[in-house]
Amino acid sequence: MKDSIFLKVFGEIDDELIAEAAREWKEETISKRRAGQLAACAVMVLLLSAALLNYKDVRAAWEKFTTKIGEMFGIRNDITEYTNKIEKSVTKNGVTITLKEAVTDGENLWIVYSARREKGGDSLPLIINNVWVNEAEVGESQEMYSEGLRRDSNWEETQICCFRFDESLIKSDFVNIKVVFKTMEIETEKILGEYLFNFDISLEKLKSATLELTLDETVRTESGGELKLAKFRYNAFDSTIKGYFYNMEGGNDYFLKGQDSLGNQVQYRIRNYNNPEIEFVLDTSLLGHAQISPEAEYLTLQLYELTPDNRKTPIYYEATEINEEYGEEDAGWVYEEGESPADGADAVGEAFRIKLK
Amino acid sequence: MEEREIMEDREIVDLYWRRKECAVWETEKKYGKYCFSVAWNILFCKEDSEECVNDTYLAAWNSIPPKRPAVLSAFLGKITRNKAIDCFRKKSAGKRAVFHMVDIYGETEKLETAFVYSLEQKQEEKELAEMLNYFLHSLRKADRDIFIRRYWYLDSIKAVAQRHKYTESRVKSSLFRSRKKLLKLLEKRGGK
Repeated sequence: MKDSIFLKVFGEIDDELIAEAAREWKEETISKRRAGQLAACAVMVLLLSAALLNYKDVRAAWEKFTTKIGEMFGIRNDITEYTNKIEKSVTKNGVTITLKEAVTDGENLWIVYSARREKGGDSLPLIINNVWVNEAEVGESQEMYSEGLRRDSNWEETQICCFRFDESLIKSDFVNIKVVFKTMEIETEKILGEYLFNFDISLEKLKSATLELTLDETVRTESGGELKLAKFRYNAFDSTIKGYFYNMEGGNDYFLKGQDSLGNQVQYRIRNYNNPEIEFVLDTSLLGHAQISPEAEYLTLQLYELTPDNRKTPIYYEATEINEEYGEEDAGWVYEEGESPADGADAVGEAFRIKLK
Repeated sequence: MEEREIMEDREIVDLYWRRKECAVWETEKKYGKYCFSVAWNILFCKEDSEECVNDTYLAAWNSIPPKRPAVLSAFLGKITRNKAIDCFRKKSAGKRAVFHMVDIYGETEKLETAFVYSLEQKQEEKELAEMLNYFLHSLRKADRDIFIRRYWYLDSIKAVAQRHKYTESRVKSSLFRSRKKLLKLLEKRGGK
């Protein structure tokens, strides 16, 4: 067999990336467990309290958990007023796409859709999305979250797609959104259908509930790095801290960890680093989505530095039965439970407070 | 059962620098299974995989010093992967290994063409590797992990799906999107 140039060059990617992919995969599984626990708790609380509350209260409580985006993200607060219900379906070639909900805060757009294929056929095709905000093309979603717990079939799935865009695209409190999905057979790359959704949504309430603060915090690391935090942004769906990181030690990971004034644990991880510009995002994978309480008065955070030597690599390989010829018994990776990517990270500098009220 | 203490990477590297043979035992203790799995994913043959791992230890012994790898697992993994790919090409591999690699070659056919074209246009392999690092960092974490597990660790689609608790079609979708993004990036940077 001939040599593959691509595989050869790909063999030379960064050591850190190789090591990262050798570790246990945590992000989605923990998030799903969290969302599942929250949904289960919600159902229990509602059942127990239904008899005690009047109809209006029950309805209000129920609505907290009737937004799909809230359920999937595991958001504890009431987000119904920020969520635009769409509930429109288009069917083509046996595949139905239903656009359920959309939310925007003026910099991010989240859409929830489900795709279903009539049973008996093949599994779901590849679904490609493309979005326009006020007629300007934003492109494909940057992040996607799957439902997880209920998604046990090859014929149906529900996803949240997140698109980030420039706030200059927003001209008023109403935003025109155009979403085009394309379904494609993965093996043949044949397009099965195109699905167009065009609608207006309001961002007024979420925008007014979004907290934006200027920060002036500097933390210095032992290796000569300097982190200057300049902007804090928070709403029920997203929280970011932007700034500059000069002389960042290559190979190290950095986190901002702490808690709000009510004791809710929070952790921010790096989402973008374009030397020296840095953006931390609230880590929704470990702690559920955006766990800062709306009642919290302040947030206490501290920078944590994780060096490659302190990084935990709980790798071991457990070979199961191996059929030499064409064995079906796959050997696999086995990892330990209950760890966080920030395990082994050391606190750097002093903790600092961000006043939320 | 005997409790075996695992050394820190820098301690193991220090042993190599001090030319202590126990450096190899410590490497085997900490990364033997990891290296074996890298080789196994390509060769699906116990003897050949073990041979690659032993060759890896020898290569590490010969290259440290002068090298002082910052990430020892990746340093060893790279050696093992190269040796296993080399072994796969030279030896007559088993049916399972051939089918597995044919699948991967099939998926990466367009990328292969684009990479060959880029190299013909005098782009250095190092530049392309840097571009790949940039591309991988631009992916969301799950997609990056899927891409690296499939094309660096050469995991089966089934294994990647199990790791992420996704369906196999979801993994294929992620790979398809990522390959498309990479092709676009190559085009932008003057590739085919």
